[in-house]
Amino acid sequence: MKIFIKFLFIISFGLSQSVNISVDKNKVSINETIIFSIEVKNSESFASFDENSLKKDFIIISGPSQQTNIQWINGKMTSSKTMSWTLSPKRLGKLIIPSLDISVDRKNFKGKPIVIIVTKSLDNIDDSIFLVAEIDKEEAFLGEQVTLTYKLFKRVNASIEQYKIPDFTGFWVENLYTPDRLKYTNVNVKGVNYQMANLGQIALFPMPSDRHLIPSLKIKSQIELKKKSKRRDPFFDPFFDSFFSETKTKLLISQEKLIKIKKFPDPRPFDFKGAVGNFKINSYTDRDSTKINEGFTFTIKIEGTGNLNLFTIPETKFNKNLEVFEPVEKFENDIFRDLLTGTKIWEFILIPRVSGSINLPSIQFSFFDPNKKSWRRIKTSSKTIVVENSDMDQNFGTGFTKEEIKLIGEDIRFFKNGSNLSLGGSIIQQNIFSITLYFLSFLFLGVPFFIKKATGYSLFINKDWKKRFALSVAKKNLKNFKKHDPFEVSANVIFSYFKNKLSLPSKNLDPATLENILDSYLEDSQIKKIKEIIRICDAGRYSFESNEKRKTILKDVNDILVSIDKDLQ
Amino acid sequence: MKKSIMIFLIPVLLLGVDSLDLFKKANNNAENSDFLKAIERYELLIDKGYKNGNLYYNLGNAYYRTNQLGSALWAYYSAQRLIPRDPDLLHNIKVVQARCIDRIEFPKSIFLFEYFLKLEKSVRIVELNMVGSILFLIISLLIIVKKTDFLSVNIINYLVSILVILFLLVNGLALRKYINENKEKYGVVISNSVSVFSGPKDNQNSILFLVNEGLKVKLNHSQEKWVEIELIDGKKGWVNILSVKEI
Repeated sequence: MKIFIKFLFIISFGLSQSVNISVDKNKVSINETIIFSIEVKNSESFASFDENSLKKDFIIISGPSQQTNIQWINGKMTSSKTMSWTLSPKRLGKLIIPSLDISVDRKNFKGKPIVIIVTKSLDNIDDSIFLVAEIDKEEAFLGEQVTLTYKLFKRVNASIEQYKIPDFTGFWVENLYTPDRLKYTNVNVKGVNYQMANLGQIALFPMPSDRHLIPSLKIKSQIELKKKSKRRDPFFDPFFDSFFSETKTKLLISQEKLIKIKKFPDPRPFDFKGAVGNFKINSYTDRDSTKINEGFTFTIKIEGTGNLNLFTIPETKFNKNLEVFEPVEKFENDIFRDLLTGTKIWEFILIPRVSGSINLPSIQFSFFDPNKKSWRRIKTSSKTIVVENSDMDQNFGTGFTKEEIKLIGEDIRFFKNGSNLSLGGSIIQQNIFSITLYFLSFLFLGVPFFIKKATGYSLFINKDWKKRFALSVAKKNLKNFKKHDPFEVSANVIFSYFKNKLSLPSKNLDPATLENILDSYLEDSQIKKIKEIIRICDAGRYSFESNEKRKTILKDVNDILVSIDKDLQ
Repeated sequence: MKKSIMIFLIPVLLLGVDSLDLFKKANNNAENSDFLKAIERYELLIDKGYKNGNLYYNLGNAYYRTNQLGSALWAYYSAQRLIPRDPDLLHNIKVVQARCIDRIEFPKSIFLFEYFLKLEKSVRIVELNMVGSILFLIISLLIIVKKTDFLSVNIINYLVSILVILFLLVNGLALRKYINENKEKYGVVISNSVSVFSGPKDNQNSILFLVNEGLKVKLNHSQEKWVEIELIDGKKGWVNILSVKEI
């Protein structure tokens, strides 16, 4: 009879939220599991708490798994959110799930502790399925391979869940075999027939550490149990058994194993770098001869069985005429009869810098052979590589361009008989010409400012220049009229002359305005003359009225401007 | 007053006369194939502080005749700073370079930059300064003309901006040349198969590579009897200070 005891602690009777903490049973055997769940009602989120408080007495096998339920009863909705964990007890006796601080929707709740009683196995199915961790030796030297095999034995219908190989502290681990799916073979254990499957094989190499413990592997299994029918009923005929068989969850745990470390025999060789196993060493170059500055490869190869990844070769001293680059390390492993074998390669790139015969050193290496329980030393033979001069060193050999070959055939040009010989001189002496020019330039730029400061006359103000040169500019423009209309040229010259001479604004200068302005400078007769000549220009531009003046107009304008220029001074 | 000036000038003039005489004697030695004597006299003049393109050119020729290719190139490179466009000098440099073992070539750069490098090599700082000062004089005259409004304003503005750009380019080139010649030191390797070490000691450091005479190198810094050289392809190492001659 199955006992289902449910502990229900209603922690909060708040408006609607409540939290239930429960286990599916409070009495279990050591290799059984319990389901621990936290259900919250009418909340928005799942419960959260610190899982570490569970880990003191229990191992979390799986979880948390989450489940949400919504119910409508008489038009009223209730929802619940459940999180559950599968736990396995760590020891026998009275274990306690402590009082938990749970937070739901930012509210805090506190649960009560739950007592779980853990007993030895309750039923007789213990030997129907079990897990074994097999090691090939219990005592090993540091670096010696210990092969660990996990095996599953069963004589009932059972399935196992996903499992994870534990971490092995104190060992260098190399995986030898991982099954894709379980293959069962029939074996006989103490007269009982079992089905056996290999769950994985691992090579462990002990490293210096204070403890070498192989931890237990834990796997959750589902065992199928036949339900015993209490009465004969056509519906409960054995035919239907498979439909009504019941499953039981069982946690399979392998035994922990302790590896004892044996001491290496004394005396230990000076060049021992931690290699344990059985090895061969070899060294070779990719060529027998090379040229200066042309690199070649020197390879050291160690092959055999053992802890290939746990040691290095002793430091190699090369000839100082060789440039040595950091070696490239390669490791290829191969599993042979459950032993880790492989090849480890160090590839050096060496570049000779001088010619001649260069000696490559012999590589010496010691290891411990655990089979013979003795030290062994192996070495390579030394090698010689011949370095020839490179092509570039052979004078005029190759690598010349046509132009260079032509130049080699030529001689240098002859000595120069200079008649003067000058001392270099300081920077100032050498650049005296430039300095003089810079000085002159600054003088040119600076003089107008000095003149203005001294005399008040500005060379840079256009007005003064324009005033002074108004007549000469006008004369020049009259001379250079070329093929333009003489009347138009004359009118333009007259207006620009007055603009320059009287510093007038260029805008809105018409004959009437000009007359008003000239009033204060010139006599009436002169103004009249100017008005007349402007009229003639206008008339000539737009009609044939003044055509007879076409030839003389330029000279007339010139004469008038010369005559009034004196008065305008 | 006159007396004191004369007293001051006499040794200078005498020195000049003396040196010119020495130069002629050295040239005579060279013509008579007594190159070692000629070298001695040319070097004496250089020690006195004479910086003359022809002097260095002749020294280079004398070195070449005595089969000292590295030293010949050193003298020619020194002459090149003073008479950069002299066709004889350029020819001789090419002839000697063709006989040297080490030739490290610049990777080809774009056409314009090569043209610029050629131009930079063929002018002296003093000449660039002259061109700069002439440009500056023209610019200042144009500014004055512009202020007085004699010529059309637009043309002057245009001219001034072109000249200012030219002025900046010329002075920029002069500055670059000055930095190259004075801030960075160059030298020429003067003996063959010189081992370049990884550090300034020959017994503790490994040999990185070998250089031969005539190779132009950049001198980075020196330490006691050692100097760190840098090749144009970026390789660096230390050599004995006696195996390179600073230009």
